[in-house]
Amino acid sequence: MKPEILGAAKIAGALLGAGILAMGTALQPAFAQDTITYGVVSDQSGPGVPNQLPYLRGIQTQFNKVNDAGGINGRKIVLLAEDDKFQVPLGIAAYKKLASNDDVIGISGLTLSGTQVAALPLVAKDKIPVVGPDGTTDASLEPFQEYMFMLVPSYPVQAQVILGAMKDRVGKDKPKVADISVNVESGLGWQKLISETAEAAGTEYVGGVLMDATATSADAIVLKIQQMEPDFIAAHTTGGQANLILKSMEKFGLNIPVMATYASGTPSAYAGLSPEIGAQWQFVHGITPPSVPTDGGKQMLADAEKYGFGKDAASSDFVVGYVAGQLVVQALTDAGENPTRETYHQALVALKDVDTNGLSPSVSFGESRMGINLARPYGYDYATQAFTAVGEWDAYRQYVK
Amino acid sequence: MQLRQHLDTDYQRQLRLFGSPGAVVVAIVAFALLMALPFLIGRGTLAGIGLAAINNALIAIIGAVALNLLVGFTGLLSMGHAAFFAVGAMAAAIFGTQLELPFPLVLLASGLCGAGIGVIVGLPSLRLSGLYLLLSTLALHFLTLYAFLQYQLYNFGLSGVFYPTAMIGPIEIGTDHRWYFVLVACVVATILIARNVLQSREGRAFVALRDHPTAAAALGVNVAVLRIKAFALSSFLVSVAGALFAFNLGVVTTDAFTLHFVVAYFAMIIIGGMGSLLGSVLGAVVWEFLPQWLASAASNIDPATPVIGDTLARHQAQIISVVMGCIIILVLIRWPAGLAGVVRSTVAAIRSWPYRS
Amino acid sequence: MIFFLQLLVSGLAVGSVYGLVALGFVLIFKATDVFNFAQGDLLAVGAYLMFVALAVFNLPVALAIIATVVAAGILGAMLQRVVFKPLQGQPLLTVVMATIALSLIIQGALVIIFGSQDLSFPRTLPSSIVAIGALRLSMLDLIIMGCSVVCVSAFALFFRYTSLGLQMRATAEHPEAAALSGINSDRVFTVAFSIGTVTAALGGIFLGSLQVVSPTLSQIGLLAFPAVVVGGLTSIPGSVIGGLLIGVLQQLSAGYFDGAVASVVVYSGLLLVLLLRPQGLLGRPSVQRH
Repeated sequence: MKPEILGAAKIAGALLGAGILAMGTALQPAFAQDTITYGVVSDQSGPGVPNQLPYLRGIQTQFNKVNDAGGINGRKIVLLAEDDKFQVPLGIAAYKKLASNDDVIGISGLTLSGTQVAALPLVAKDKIPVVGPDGTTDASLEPFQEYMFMLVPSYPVQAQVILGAMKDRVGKDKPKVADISVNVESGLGWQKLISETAEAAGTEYVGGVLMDATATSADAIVLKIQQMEPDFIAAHTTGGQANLILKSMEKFGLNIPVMATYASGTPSAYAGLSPEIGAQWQFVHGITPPSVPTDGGKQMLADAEKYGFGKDAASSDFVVGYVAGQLVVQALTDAGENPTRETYHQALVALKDVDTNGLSPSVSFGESRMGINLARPYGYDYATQAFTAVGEWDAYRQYVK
Repeated sequence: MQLRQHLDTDYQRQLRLFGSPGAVVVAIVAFALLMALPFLIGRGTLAGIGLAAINNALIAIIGAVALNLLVGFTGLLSMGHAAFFAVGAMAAAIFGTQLELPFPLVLLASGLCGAGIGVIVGLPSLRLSGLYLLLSTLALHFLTLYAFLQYQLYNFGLSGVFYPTAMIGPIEIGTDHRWYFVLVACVVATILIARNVLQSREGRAFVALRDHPTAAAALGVNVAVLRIKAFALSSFLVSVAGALFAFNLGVVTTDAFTLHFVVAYFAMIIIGGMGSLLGSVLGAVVWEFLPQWLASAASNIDPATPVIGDTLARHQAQIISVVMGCIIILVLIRWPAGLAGVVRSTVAAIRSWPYRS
Repeated sequence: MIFFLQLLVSGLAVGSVYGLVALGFVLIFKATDVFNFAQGDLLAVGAYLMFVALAVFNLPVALAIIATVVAAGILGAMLQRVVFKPLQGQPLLTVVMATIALSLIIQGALVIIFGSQDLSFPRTLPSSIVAIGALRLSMLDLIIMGCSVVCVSAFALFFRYTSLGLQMRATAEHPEAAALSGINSDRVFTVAFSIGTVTAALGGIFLGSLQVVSPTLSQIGLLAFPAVVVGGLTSIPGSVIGGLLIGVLQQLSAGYFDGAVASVVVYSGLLLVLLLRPQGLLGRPSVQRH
């Protein structure tokens, strides 16, 4: 036999063998009949980790808890967590794998706005309910998305609470509002939102400033705000940026109150400042941060410790995941013996006034698909090193239309 | 015994696509496997890799080949990779979404746009080299992303840039299945183009440029023009990849084009082997799939295993990051020629057995 | 006018941090020819080390700084031994890629060890407000600026007047000739990496005091590159000046235009410098010999 053909045949044979071997591993073990599989797509190793990892852990805690108690109608729930590394193509590929290959009954996560927007048509096609943390972009709210269930209050709701509450607090007839927003898509959206809804809320919009996420000083931003002379500031920044802004405000002796979205609701926003300066910054949220003592909070922290997620349970995002997990478990239980995507979906829509023991106002999805349509402000107490709620949930219902 | 090395004894022989009847056999087998792959996978996965991930990898192969042409074969260090993907995506939006041209035309137009911009980007390379070129393309990266964001906000809004479903004639490319075949065709075309260019006079001049620009100039190579040509060719291919990427995804925002993206492609060509087409393919495949395989393997380890088990469960993704970093450093120290080098020496060893190669 | 001056002063303070990071970067590059993409991550490591010293070992601030600096120096030496020594003589891209891989490893390791949340120093450097005329500065800003001046002078003196400094300069100029003269280039490289890591760690300590300690500190380190290029890849005072310039540019553009435009301005400036004067403001033009 000609040596060249022999040589090539050897290589071809090796290739074929490898191919068959690879194909062989394609047979994934199917999950046992008596389990329910649930998927989460989130960032586990990229820049989104500070917010998204605790969220995943919150859901995991809830699922571990229900499994230890015997499962949902006797069946264990298995969590399949996919890492999208904060990249849209990986997120979409992960979604497709979960929805088509792993045949999950529902999905959570999809927090990266690019991934969420790209996934919307797929979600509608697969008819798979998504109990995500939030609708991060306008596209998730309009047109109406049948299968997207939002948990945290949307930006419009937060804006309404902030503008309304601050207007009453400042006490003027038409107080001036300025905004500081982080320089990403959500910040640009926030700026647009405040500038457009200020009038309707009875305030006057005097301008806004964008802040780079990697800025090391907020001096320029604060100086610009100073020139606008607002009565209060509606902000959407990270905790680190909040810290910088407060430090700069202290430097220039500015005493303008700020109320911000939950993105800045971390203890690091208040670090290294005096209580007088820290009192200037409050943030709104639709859930209760872990450090505020509530019955539900105590239970949640105990559960987290039990499963080794104590470190993550300090974050508000953990609470969101924990509550999401509770809702998913409840809906799956309501869906009966053999839940399908359809029955699970109906059960989710039917959820009404679910009590989370103080972790949030009562949750109802219903037709609007907005689980928590309310927010209230929180401040930081330096003495106890914990967040404190400013008032009860019901006090702020008047601001939400 | 005859020496079984395959040596080309004239230029015509080297140009032939299939050097020997054996190569034809290999090609046919590989082709059959490739065509059968989506049907074998069906809706399942190949050790944790679904068809969507395979499509991503195919696009990555095109990007890696293009980057290797520029960096590996011509020695022009450019960090503008993500920027050119963005250019391709932007051009695809202009021609595809806004002007609604047919898909194949959109690809061509995006490529030409990219080539044009590549020429402009290539101009600094005439004055700068090595490190300085690297930094100037880094600057270009940020500037291009800014331009993309402005384009997105002006024409589409905050959610991102939208793309219609790709259509080739009357056929709608709507499922992963169909995208697979389109992408395989594009990958094969890219590799053939690259191979042909590299074997032409221009291609050899590229390599001469990388190894010794002065000697190349002395031999009559127009260094300046050739550098521009290298940029143009590479950018053409990257922009086509960018357009494919955009249409495949459906919606694109600047989130997709980070520095990490650039770093990932460099990792691909280094692990695969710089200056080697096979290296580009291997590198892209390994970079895209290895984390998935590691993750699948990791999830099989019981969290109850002491020490490793717990950390693996909690920080799986970080550990994979660390492992990938270590692999890169290992490859750089131990096998500078990359995976392609390993494959070549293995093949040579098999061919010349029982002699040492 | 006050607006401009205030922005200028704030920019100088921020720029001093960039300058420190850039200084370490240029040091490493000059001595070992390694373009260290992981410099920003070393900054983050410095911040986390300081956090450990303060929160875990409960050291007073001054002692914590010393401990962090020493630890950083040791880390730099180890990195050189393990990663860069085997790669000596390899082409530029290989070494760059190794530093990028290092960056991946450090970022992953930091999250594994410290978690993903923002952390803050339990005790910080003094940060009272100082007023100079109508301008307001934080004591911390003054400390940072003072520290970079001290560092630059110290290094200038070190390179000029000490034996080790002379050896480093010789090795940077011509490694083979230096080796022939009996200089232990291995030791020189290790020292260079140590010092480079130390300056990055100092930058991390300051940055962690200015804001919060998080994995995103690595990205801020990225701005050291334009600083290095503008100042000149081969000039040590140039790197600090470059850092100051970048800091001022950033603040001015944030003040007069928009936060978004700031990075565009910085990178356009970088591009301009590269095209018109590639060796930077204070660097020496490199002569290519074949």
